Amino acid sequence: MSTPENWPPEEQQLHDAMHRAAERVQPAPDGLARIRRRTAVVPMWRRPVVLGLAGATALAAAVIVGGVILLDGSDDDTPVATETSRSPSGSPSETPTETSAPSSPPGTETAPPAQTLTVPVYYVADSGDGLRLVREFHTVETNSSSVWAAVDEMLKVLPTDPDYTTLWWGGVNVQSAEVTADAITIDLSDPAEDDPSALEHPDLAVQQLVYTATAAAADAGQDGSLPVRITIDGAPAGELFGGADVSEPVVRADPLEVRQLVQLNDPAEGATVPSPVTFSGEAAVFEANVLWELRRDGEVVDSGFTTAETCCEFARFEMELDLEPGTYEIVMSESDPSSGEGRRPMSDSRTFTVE
Amino acid sequence: MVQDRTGSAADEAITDLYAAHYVRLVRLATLLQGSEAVAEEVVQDAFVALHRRWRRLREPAAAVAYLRTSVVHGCRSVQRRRGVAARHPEEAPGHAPSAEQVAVGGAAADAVVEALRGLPDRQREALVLRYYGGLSESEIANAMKISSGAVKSHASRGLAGLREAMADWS
Repeated sequence: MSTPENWPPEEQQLHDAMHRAAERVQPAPDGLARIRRRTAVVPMWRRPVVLGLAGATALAAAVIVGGVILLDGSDDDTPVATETSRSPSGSPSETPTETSAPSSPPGTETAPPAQTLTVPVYYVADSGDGLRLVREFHTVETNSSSVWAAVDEMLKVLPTDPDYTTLWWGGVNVQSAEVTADAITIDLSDPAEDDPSALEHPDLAVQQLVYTATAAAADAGQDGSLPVRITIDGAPAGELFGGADVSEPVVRADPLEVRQLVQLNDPAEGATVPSPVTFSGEAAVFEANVLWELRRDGEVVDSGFTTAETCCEFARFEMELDLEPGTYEIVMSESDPSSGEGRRPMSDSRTFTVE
Repeated sequence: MVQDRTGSAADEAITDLYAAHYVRLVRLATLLQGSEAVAEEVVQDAFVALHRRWRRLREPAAAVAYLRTSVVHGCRSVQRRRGVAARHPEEAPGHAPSAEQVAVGGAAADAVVEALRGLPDRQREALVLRYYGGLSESEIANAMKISSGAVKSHASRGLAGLREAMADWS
């Protein structure tokens, strides 16, 4: 608990004020007793994977429904593959750190030479309609497959965009990633501890992995519509995060239900780019209208709208702006879906610098 | 039974962790989302979750980080459920301050807490974890599950947002 002495007065005051406010908070004396009452029962969080027949049938039905949705939405995945190749090589490159360095995957035969890959990695963001999937492209050095590298990146590297977060808390390794005719099989190490937010959104956490694996497969020219089989230490995982059934391979959920409806691809967060600046991404928005706002030091300096190629399903949008050198924030959003009622419009933002 | 053995190890650990961290975590949670009563619930949830996962924690040192992440996440969920109403919760942290507290600077603290409450969640989290929690950038990144660079940017945006309110009382 350090209190750096070299803080400017402003920060020192903030520190003091918070401590003063906090010290007024006196928790009730029975906290431990309350916790004890709840931990005394045998935990039910990880029930044995013995599914009743009814449960199994319902799950099978769910998988089929998912499959139908996938067929409907399969076109949406195509941009993932094309986008990646379009993505400037310098874009969301992650500075390799200790944590991001892919430990050599066990089970690889003769290690192929390391290559540089740009892989799609899905994260989550609080979109205005709860958490939804969002995507970044990360450039990685790897001697493994694109699928392995993408999932590994998702598990080990936090998102670049400050508005994004992840439902995988770390401590999990990819042990193998295999693409076969009927499924993509990802074998993970047993998570040391479940991500607390994943416990609240178990299905979305699984979809984060499914979207990442399938997008990476598509990107590598493999079948991105395959379901994803998740195993833990080589054994069927059964259930993850106390609620997501992964006993059968899992397909992508309907993107309109799980993805943030506006997704910026370029510029990448923190990128330095020349003017004119190209803004591109994908959106599934009413009347294909994507609103934008350009901010500088928090002030809106310009705004307008652009259109996606089609409405109401994920389609590409792109626009260009001539900008003076400086640091900007772009916010791209859907128009208010309900004229002020219901959920907030979804948006995606990037901070970037024009050189 | 294995269950029993790990169960009692977990019980002991929870008791120790409670003694060392409960009050601070409740205060942290109060700063993060405003309500003291909710803060206690969020922190108790975090301890219960930790107890259940005790067996799977690789090292005891990870326990505090786990509690912190759970609390940050729990407060975020509370804020999300409250939606727009969260901007103006009725209950101020610490309820009505006494005259003495105001005299020793309670009013100034209130002004900051009030201003904090108007910030976007991530900015508030970054500031509270840094200035109340006393955490390093990487600990904050871990608790918020964002990169260190993102912690920096949230903190500096949050500071900018508070500057106006702070100018009023400094």
